[in-house]
Amino acid sequence: MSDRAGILARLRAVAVEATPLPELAGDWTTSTDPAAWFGDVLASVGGDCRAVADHRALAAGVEQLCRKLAATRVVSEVDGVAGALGAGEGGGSVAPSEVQLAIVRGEWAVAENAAVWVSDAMVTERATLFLSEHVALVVDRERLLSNMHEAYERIDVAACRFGAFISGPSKTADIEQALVIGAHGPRSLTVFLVG
Amino acid sequence: MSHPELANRFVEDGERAQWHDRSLWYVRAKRDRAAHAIPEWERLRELAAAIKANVRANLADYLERFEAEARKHGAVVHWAEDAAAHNQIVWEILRSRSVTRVVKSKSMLTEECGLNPFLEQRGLEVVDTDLGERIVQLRDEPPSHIVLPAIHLRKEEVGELFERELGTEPGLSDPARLTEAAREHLREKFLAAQAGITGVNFAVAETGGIVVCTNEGNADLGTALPPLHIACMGIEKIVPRAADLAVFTRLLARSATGQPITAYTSHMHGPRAGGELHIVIVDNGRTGMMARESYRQSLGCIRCGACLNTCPVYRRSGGYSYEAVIPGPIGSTLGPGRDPARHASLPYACTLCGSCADVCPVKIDLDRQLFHWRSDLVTSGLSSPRKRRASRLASLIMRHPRLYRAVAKLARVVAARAPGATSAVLSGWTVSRDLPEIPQRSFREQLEDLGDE
Ligand code: SF4
Repeated sequence: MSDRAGILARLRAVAVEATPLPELAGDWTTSTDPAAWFGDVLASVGGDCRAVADHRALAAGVEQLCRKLAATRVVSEVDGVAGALGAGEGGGSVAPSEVQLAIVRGEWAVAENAAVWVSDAMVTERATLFLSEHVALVVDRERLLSNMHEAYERIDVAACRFGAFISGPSKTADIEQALVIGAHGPRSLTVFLVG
Repeated sequence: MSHPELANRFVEDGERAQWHDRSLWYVRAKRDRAAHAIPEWERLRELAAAIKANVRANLADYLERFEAEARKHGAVVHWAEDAAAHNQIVWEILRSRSVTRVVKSKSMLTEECGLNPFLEQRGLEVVDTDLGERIVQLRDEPPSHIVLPAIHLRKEEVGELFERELGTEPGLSDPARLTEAAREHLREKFLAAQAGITGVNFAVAETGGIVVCTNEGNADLGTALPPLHIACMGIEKIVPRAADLAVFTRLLARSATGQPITAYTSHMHGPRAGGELHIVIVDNGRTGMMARESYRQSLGCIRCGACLNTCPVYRRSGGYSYEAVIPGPIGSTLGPGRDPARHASLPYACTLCGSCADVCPVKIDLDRQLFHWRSDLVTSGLSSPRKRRASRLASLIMRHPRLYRAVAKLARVVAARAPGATSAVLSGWTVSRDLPEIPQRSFREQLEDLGDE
């Protein structure tokens, strides 16, 4: 018998009491001001939330961020942001490991845990999200949700080969429980909420 | 060696033992704050337990569905009966592609299977990339905790290790600078790797996708850079629907470290463009666990570590005192399930306080299982003779009220006249603490006095 057949046969040989798959609909916590909630949680996980009114304000905000980080090797995957800065278009000219700041569009943001959904469809090179020194995610305010149930209701996770909820910069507390931001991945994460 | 013998060694360094206890309690307190901040916490735990119960009842069907869907996305699915088969499969994949440099992110399953030494013996370089795991790997030690692998080490010890292994300056003990040194060292490994091996936190039956959760982003670097990704999962990692992930991602990190979610929760459906994804589904004793009704629930474990952090015995005896891949309350029920003779002392590494079951996000009845193991071990003659004698004596006394009263009276008299005597009888228990004062009159006597008034 193959390992596969053996495993399945052993599982089927055991009579386990049948229980229904529970309904997930519920009265889950929401907020009337998810943007404030999102900003607070993001700050608590080491990130930074900037609310900007429109795309022009976004471009100005990104420019400011570049100055603050002294970032010159900037890759933008957000329309209307790269050109203004003269940065590498679509990640083409800078190798992912050389990028100082990557600007990527997030499709959804979740207030309860400051997670932003980013998928393959939003980046040319997946590695950019993890190799860049700093990452900025751009999300439309109307795509801000309260909790993870709302998020999984809207996202078709199987539509892309890769999709991730990103909540704050990369971090570790493996040495004596001391929180250190910037473990392997980005050392900072800024989320621009547009609108 | 038994748990008490190994724990004895750990507590010899009293200062370290107390520090270990405090570090874990700090994590437990963070978990409490995160859990209490969510009004629907208990509802989530109930849902998680119900989903896992449903998974157990339909696991064969879900696994087949998962396999079919994963294949549609272009993943190659392998099945392994045991650790040896798992290691062989991984080795074959690597060997046939001439891979010699592998980066790994945290996976308790590959730890359980002994994959690292297996591959190293065959000449491969296997680098654990989770910082805590890398630290214990460089020390040639196993992880002492399932989420915080190096929780037993002081920063000075990490500094000495890095000085020796990575050439950092002597005397360095600042966690930020040590982490920076590890970042540089591991960056090179990531860029040079030809394959990435990861564990799997959740495998979604309806979509054929896998979900991997990390804070460091190491699993993502390890799978975004090399063209080959091998994901190893136990059969129990299945969740039926993508929507179920909402329940588990809300529970996992809050239970583990008190974070609202891990920094990266990555969903992979098939290989990345031009790459390969192999998923190895492993039994290694899990179907046997499924067959034992009293212990079946432990298959629902999502490896959050909350039961370790809260356990008064784990906190004070350290992960290595369990001599098992998974320590703490969950390890104490999984261990004897795997090898009852070898792990016979583990169900006794428990005060039956029940705190583990209270914090467990999937509501596994850990304390009840540990209690149940004790009777199983006695029945099968595997518990220590001393424990059996003591239990028989206790049972005799408990079953005869007069005898019980006489013995209790004797104990009170002895305790009053010769305080050292009771401590001698209780030996280990009073090494670092005193017995509470024993009242001179029993409850029954005091009640009778009240009745007279
Ligand atoms: S048994 Fe429960 S508390 Fe312990 S690690 Fe598993 S899921 Fe977490």
